[in-house]
Amino acid sequence: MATLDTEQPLAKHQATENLRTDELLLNMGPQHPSTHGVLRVIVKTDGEIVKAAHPEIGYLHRCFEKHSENVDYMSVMPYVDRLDYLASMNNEQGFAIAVEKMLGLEVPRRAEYIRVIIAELQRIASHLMAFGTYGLDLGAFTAFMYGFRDREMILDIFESVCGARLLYNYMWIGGVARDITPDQVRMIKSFCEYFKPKIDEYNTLVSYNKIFIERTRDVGVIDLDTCKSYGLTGVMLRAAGFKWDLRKDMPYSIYKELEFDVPVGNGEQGTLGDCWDRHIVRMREMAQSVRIIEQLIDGIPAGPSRGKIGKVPKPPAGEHWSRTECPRGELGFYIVSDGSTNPYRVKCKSPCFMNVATLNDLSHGVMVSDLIATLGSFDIVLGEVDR
Amino acid sequence: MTFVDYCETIKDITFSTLKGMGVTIKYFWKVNTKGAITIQYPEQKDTLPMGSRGLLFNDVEDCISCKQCAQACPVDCIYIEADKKGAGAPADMTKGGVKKTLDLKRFEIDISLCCYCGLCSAACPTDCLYHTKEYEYSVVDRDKHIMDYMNYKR
Amino acid sequence: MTFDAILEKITARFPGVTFTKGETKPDPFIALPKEKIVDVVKYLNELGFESLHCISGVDYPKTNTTEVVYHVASFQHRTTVCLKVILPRGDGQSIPTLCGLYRGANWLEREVFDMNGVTFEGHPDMRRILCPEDWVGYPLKKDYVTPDFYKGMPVPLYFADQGEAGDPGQPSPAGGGH
Repeated sequence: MATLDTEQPLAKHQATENLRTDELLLNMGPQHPSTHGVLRVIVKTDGEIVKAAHPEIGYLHRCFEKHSENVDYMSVMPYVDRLDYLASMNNEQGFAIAVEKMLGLEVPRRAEYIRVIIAELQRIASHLMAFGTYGLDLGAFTAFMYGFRDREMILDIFESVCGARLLYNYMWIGGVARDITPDQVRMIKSFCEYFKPKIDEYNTLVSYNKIFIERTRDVGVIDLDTCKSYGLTGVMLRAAGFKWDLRKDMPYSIYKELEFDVPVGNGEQGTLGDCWDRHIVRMREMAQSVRIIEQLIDGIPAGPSRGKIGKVPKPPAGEHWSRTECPRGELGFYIVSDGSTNPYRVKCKSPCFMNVATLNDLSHGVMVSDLIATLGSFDIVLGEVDR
Repeated sequence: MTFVDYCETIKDITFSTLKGMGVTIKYFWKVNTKGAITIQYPEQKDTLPMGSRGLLFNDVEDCISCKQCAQACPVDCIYIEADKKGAGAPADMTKGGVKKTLDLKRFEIDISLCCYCGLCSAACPTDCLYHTKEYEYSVVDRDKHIMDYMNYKR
Repeated sequence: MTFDAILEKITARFPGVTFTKGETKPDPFIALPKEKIVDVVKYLNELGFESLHCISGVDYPKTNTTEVVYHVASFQHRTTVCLKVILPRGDGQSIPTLCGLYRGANWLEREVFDMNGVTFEGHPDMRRILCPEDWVGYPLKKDYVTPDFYKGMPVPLYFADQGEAGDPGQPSPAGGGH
């Protein structure tokens, strides 16, 4: 049973000297289905108990920061897409906001509305993917199918809005690449109508399933102190019971005009900050995203969808650190400009980078299967960890 | 864990799983062959929405060789060569009525490098470079992915 | 808490240490000597700046300096403060580690070491993190030259280095493997 006390078996095991076996060095990854990409975890196991797990990253390093120094600000956008490829729109929004702040540019209200609607749709898509793959990690294949069915609908909307399904290059500096049409507005509306009752359905299907609860409760507990020590943000922080959402607390774009709640973990099924809390925070965030879209979709103001901006944006010399709330946490961009068309330095601080770093601390004395459950609940995307 | 707790857990597992099965069963009755979502791909093709970004195409008749697309390209996969027009050459206009001052010698795009970001087609002043909806162009040789639009045949 | 208030508090807490206010737009920064970085971050933690968000290294060949930039964020004050340690450029610069204060500093500092070659004194595990262990050079230094080969494998070259349009007649050694 998954409710085995994680501390006790190890202590007992160590005490019985004659039962002691050699430690086994297990190489989990880089090609491993449950690591969500190319993450290598070197696991030191003693029987079924993990003694240490060292994540090794860098297998998907694509030199984002070095590339950005060689192209102009507009051309960085397609590279930003490829950081967190499951939430490209949110990444784009983050980078666009950072550069616009440096340029001192005001974005038309219509563009802001479109951006927030699209970003929230992307958040739903990303959380659906997290929900689906988390089920898959724990051996529930059905959840994956449901998650992908609804994500597909969002991708269809995106394809119609911007022409691509995964790597959009849609939110440009100063606005959005294409305006949205009444037809697409209707599509988004009907998706919201369709999707609202589905969240409860998924909760019945997965979240409140006793097997799922037994697998995830009291597993991979991250308390608030650990969160602060590691600089964790987003879902990880909220699952630890800390009410902090950049959209609410340091609002950017038009979020301060919107009404929505920030769901936090409350240790409903076990300890505060366990895997189940992280899962349920994601599920509840989807409902809030639908709420945000519904507030905006009827009142998109008329006007241009892109502000007046030169062909090649040229921010004045200076530097800026900007943070935005992405599905996986706060995505930070530190941009240094020397006044030329190319950025002097772009540093991307991805939320998943820190999430993976916590894995070693969480792995002492847990079962191998619990390690998978913990890793799955982080919802990591290696494109973002390695950049 | 006592035996009673154990039985209790088994009971919970059974009932919550049955509840979940109920969700699936609801969809089970809705499935029929008419409403099938899967498309039998090579025979049947999906209709792509307007503005889908597929293979790039350049109408060289309308191209004024301004090289703005090559500058906008983040992966530098557009290769353009153009000469100044000779003094006695006849005046050449695009369909939109823009005078061509340069003689386009070469316009090639390495499609295997292209990331379909759409920055080049947005930068094009005469709208002669655009994304088509074509998506089937796999080749055996990588060199064949360098599309030569001066003598383009597909 | 405004930027000036933070600067005032730090200056009052550490007399005799020069804190320079950097007037960059839109975000200003505080430059401080490297010996004091641990104390200052610790003091900021007491002030409510509980979260170390980012450590980045920036190379400036023009002024012959390398900057290590710390972004420390506060939940209660809803702001971020930017600290900078300016080191002379060259090989083997070092700076005290923050691993004793923040566990998250471990990987962030490893990344700075990997990309900019700044060593952190007292770091428990000073290895490369994103590049392979045996990679030569520090990629985000401005004078870094991309090697042609890594263990016999051609390294994909960035096309802009080869003139404006590259040469499609001879695709890059990797066969265009961007």
